[in-house]
Amino acid sequence: MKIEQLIVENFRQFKGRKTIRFATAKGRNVTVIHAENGFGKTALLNALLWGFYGADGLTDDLPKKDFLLHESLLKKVRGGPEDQARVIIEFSDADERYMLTRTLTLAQQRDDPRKSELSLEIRRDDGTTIPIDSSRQAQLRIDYLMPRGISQYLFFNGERIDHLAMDRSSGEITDAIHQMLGLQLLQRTIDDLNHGNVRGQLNRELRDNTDDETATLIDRMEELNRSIAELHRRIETNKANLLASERERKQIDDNLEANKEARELQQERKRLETDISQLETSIKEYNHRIGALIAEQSFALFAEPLAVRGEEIAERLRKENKLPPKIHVGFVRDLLQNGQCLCGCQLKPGTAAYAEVEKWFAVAGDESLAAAVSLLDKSIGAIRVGAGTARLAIQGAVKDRAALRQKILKHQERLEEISSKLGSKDDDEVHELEEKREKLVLAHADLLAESRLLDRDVQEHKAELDAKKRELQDKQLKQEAAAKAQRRLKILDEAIDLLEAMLQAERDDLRTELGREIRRNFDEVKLKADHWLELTPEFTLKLLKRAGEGADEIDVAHSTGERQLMSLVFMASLVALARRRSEVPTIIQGLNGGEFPLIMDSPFGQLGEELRAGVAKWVPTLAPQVVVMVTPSQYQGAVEEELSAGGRVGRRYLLTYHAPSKPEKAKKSVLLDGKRYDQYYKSDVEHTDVEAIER
Amino acid sequence: MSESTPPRPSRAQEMYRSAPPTLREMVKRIVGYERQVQHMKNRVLPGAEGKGIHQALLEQIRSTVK
Repeated sequence: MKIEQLIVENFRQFKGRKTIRFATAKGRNVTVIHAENGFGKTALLNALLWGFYGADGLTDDLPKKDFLLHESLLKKVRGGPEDQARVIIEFSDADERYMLTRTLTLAQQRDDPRKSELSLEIRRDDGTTIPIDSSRQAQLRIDYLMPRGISQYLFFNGERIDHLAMDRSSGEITDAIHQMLGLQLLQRTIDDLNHGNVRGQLNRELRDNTDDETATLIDRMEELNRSIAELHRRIETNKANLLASERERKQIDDNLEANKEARELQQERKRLETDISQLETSIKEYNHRIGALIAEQSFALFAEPLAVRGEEIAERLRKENKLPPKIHVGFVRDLLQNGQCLCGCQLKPGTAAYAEVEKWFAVAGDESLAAAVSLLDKSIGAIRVGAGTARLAIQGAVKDRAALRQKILKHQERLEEISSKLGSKDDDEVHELEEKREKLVLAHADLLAESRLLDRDVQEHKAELDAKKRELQDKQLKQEAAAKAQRRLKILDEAIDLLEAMLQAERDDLRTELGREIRRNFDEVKLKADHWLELTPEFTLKLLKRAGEGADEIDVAHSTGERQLMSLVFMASLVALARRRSEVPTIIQGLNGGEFPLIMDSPFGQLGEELRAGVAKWVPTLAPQVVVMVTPSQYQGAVEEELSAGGRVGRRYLLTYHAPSKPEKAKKSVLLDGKRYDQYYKSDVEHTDVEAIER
Repeated sequence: MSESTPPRPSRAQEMYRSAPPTLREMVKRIVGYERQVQHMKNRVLPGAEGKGIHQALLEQIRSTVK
């Protein structure tokens, strides 16, 4: 998808109609929008989000969400149809061009500001347009082209993303990634093939033409299918409740952080929770490592008692002077068989000389025993060394894991203290928020436990169903109609097996691919030479550093700027991966990702000068289309130099502020690329204008 | 960043390619139908006289095994 044009009309501080055309050309794909803080960057970002998703799309940091119309319209007693906020977005996706219009009248805002009107039309190259039937259908089409779940990774405020890639809400992240890469299509196909109208119908056709025993088998399979479908429904509801509870908790956390009384403790809690999340990930890694060590090296530990016993036997034989043997059995046997001793004496059976030599058998040793004992010595040595190494490695890993658990316990103790401190604050708001939070945390734990139970039930039902399916496939059905229905069910199962295997492979490969993309992008910015980013199985990021020659990596504590950069890398990598997949000639149409734009408000906010330069150089390559909203102070210097040098900026705009008085911190004019522009104008009515900057 | 060597076929693509031709063709058509309706609330195939997705899938299976 590429966004070609945005028109905002009476939306928030934009009074009248303002137009922004975005750069879309390959090689000149960056649009820069300059604006001081408070001049309308966030409103512009929200205009795009509101256009695409309505009230659900607005960002958390937008104040007074229920007031979307320009305030000059609010004074009217009765608004006419022309008194409305409107956002028009022209965009293209694959070979089609679209125009969406979202409106909210004054009357609607007063009644229910969430109820806006949306229209969407497809615009053909020959000038014809195809309108989408209804507001609901239009929203469905937009959600299909750019699912709302991924919008937070495409449209974001750089100063508020510092925890995004470190958050625990991995369910939301993996869902968004699957949406972005088109994997949900496969899941939906599998669900539809298993539906009562498809599999159920084929089962009924078979049942109607078969014997009682097979009919009973089919009935049980149908029953299992219904139970699995019901369990899946409950899992989905559970998942939605978990997401809602995560969001609600995040909102409470933000509110606590905004409260002076609670800020410090809440920030500490946030740090501890992030830390716990990373420690839990490390524990999982240790579990894998310990499992691998046991699988590969535990034979030495199990064989060690045997080796010890062997060693004892060998030792006893040595004490009894049987090892090493002074004379070999074979040598004594040869003398007796040859009938002559070494001294020349004849050895005939029954003679005293023969009996004398024969006595040597009692003290002679077996050659093969000697060889075996020598081999045993070597093997015992190897087993004992192996056991020692394995024991050390496993004990070391177990000890490290215990240390991590201990750390988590300490963090949890501190979290309880924080919770109790916040709960006993005099401030009513803090008290109330904390109480709500505690309830949410408990409810969340219950939901997680229920999820695990539901997953287990599904596995059990599926195992029984698979057994029944095999039983049915093996049946020799005589009637032609029944045999045909059986063959149809067989190919249906094969199709589902193939799709499930493909989906699993895609899911498994995704993390590796995304991890590779993240490393590649992180190298582009080069935060520090000995640092690297790792994607955890939960799709969160860890910043690691090599501790020393041959030593393990350590998890590095990061600054806000580093965390912001990590989140940027994460989102850029997602977009890049989706784009890469869209370029792969797919075997099944639709099983691919897509091209998405990146719209960033203040992406340089928390970064130091050096990092800003790196990010500015890298930003244009992030996505097929990039929009950067930036304050003059963030822009001047490294960002200005890098963006100009790259020649990737296709369009530039300046948001100018009109108000009775100038905000204290803002300057009247601003210097951009050596040219001065006015950015503040005195006006009775507060509003923001959009001015194009000529290249 | 994205400019690099052309990607190798994914494991999923290889699985698909190694499936028997009849199954492959059926899966391709079925996923094709799903793609046509995935953005719709009432998932009815466009230009197919109101035929729903389930009916389309069922007919595809029946026509594969006649």
